[in-house]
Amino acid sequence: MRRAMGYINDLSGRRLSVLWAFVVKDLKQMFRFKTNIVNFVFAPMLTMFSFFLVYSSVFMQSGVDDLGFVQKQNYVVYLLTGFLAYSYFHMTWGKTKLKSEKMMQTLDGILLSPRSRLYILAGKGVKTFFEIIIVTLIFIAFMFFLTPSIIWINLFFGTVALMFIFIIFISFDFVISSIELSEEGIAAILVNYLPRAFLILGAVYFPIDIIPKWLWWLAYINPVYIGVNIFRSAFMEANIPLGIPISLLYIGALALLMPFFAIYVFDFVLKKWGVRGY
Amino acid sequence: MDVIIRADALTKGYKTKKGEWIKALDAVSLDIQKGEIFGLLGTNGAGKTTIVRILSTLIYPDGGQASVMGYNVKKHPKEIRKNIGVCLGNKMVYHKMTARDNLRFFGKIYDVRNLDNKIDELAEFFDIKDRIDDLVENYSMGMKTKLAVMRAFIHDPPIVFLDEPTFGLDPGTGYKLRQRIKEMRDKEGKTIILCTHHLLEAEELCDTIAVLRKGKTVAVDTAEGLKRKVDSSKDVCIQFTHEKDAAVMSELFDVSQRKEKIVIPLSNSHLLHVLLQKVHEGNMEIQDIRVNKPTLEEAFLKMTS
Ligand SMILES: Nc1ncnc2c1ncn2[C@@H]1O[C@H](COP(=O)(O)OP(=O)(O)OP(=O)(O)O)[C@@H](O)[C@H]1O
Ligand SMILES: [Mg+2]
Repeated sequence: MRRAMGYINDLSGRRLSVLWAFVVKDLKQMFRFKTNIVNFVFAPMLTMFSFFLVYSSVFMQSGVDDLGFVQKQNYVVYLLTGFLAYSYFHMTWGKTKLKSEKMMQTLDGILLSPRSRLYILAGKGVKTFFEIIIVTLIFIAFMFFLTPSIIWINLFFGTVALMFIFIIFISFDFVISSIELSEEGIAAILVNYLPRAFLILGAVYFPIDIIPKWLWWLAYINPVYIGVNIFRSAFMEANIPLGIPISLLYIGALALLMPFFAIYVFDFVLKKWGVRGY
Repeated sequence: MDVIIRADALTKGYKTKKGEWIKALDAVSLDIQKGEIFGLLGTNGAGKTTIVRILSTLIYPDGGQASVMGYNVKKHPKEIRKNIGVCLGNKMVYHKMTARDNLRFFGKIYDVRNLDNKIDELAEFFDIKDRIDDLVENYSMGMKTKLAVMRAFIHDPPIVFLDEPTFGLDPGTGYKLRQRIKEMRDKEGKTIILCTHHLLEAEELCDTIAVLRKGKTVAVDTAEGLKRKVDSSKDVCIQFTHEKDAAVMSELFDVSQRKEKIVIPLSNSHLLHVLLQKVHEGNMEIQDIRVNKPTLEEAFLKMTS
């Protein structure tokens, strides 16, 4: 707790101007590679399209109309909302890239300044947030034409929930990217399996009914599952075991804690393990 | 004078691929005075950069204590960071951004006022104004070094660490930078820690020099003091107009001869006296007389071998 307060107290001086400097720095570097946008929109689309093929053949040809929460009349909406969460993952995962800051020792340059490490995360976060907002707005506009009955209050809560998921994702990415500074092997394993576990147990592209009942609790505590379902509830019937207010509170608390945990891991790696090659 | 940086028995080890420990620093102690230029000399891998990294709070020492302006490097790194500027070679800048954007970013995170003026000033000084809006990845090696030094100067810190700042700079810029470093000491009272392999530069700039070898300090002294430490006594080199005169003299006094030159040790001043008399008597012609002083290079080579 004291450590967390320390991180906040360090955000001294002209905070917004410093934060903005970090954001601009990351944006400037990103716009050097204009093809990024292709990657974070099309890669999730391709994955979701393969699921679309599977579902459509099931519903159209087998005569089955209902697979638990996924039904013949809503599977497109189901997949599209899942797609949004999946593209969030795509936009955040691998975005904090501390390793590339290590290569040219710009990480040293930042660490030498009397600034809280929280700025590094916040800068990368705000930059990615811009991308997320663009994709989310396009998506909502699209859904507006596709679904006649949007429950607007749920859409609002759902969007808030997705923002929380985004914060959790980017913090997680920061944790792994910190570990990568010292232990590339461990980081590589985490990078490959952790997000997939999140997404699979998040019922993003298939309903929870498919996995065994004794594993459901893993989905119920998974912020992705909770967040995506709050968002879904704006467009279709969705499973929110704890109800919207408590669920929001829960993932909100996680979103608040995760950045501090991320900075804690970052500090730990720097102090205890040391950065490889420095 | 006040001690502004104190290192006490610093040690730092690294594990090699084979699993052996090498001591990058082995109980290094240093006192650096406020307002001096302190030189760190040493062979490759002697530990100069490691010292700078520890003092600038980038890495922790394994053992020993260090403080900068009275703040312990482990306990109060933030206070230290406010007061130091560091240049480690030509790194620490973003290659995918322009030099101006780099300096803007680093200036902003140090809360520098009047940043754009400051950047223009530095660009003017380092003669890089026409390329300041170009991407750093398009820069030559020396230009990157310039930018790295500008980055270290941008917030005008009272303590500056410069690790090989003139490496790759053209002679003109190197000269200007040395003048600037001296000015920073003399006019602005700044403390500068300078790692260099350039011995003339060290001799010209540094008030105190520490010579390192394999993680240990071999000597800490002024340049003059270091030269005195190695007992290469002074020689006098006498160059005759005609080689045959040199041959005669070298035989007579049993000293070494190379073509028209002979070299006699200055410690034996009587010898010189007699020799000059013989020159006079023999009507020989001397073209040049030069006293060979020991150089910092000789001192360095002797201490680090
Ligand atoms: N991150 C690291 N991992 C392993 N060994 C390291 C690391 N950093 C430094 N060393 C070792 O520590 C020793 C001191 O290195 P250091 O960089 O301080 O030398 P230096 O005096 O700056 O040399 P140079 O003149 O070549 O710059 C070297 O033997 C080096 O191999
Ligand atoms: Mg070095």
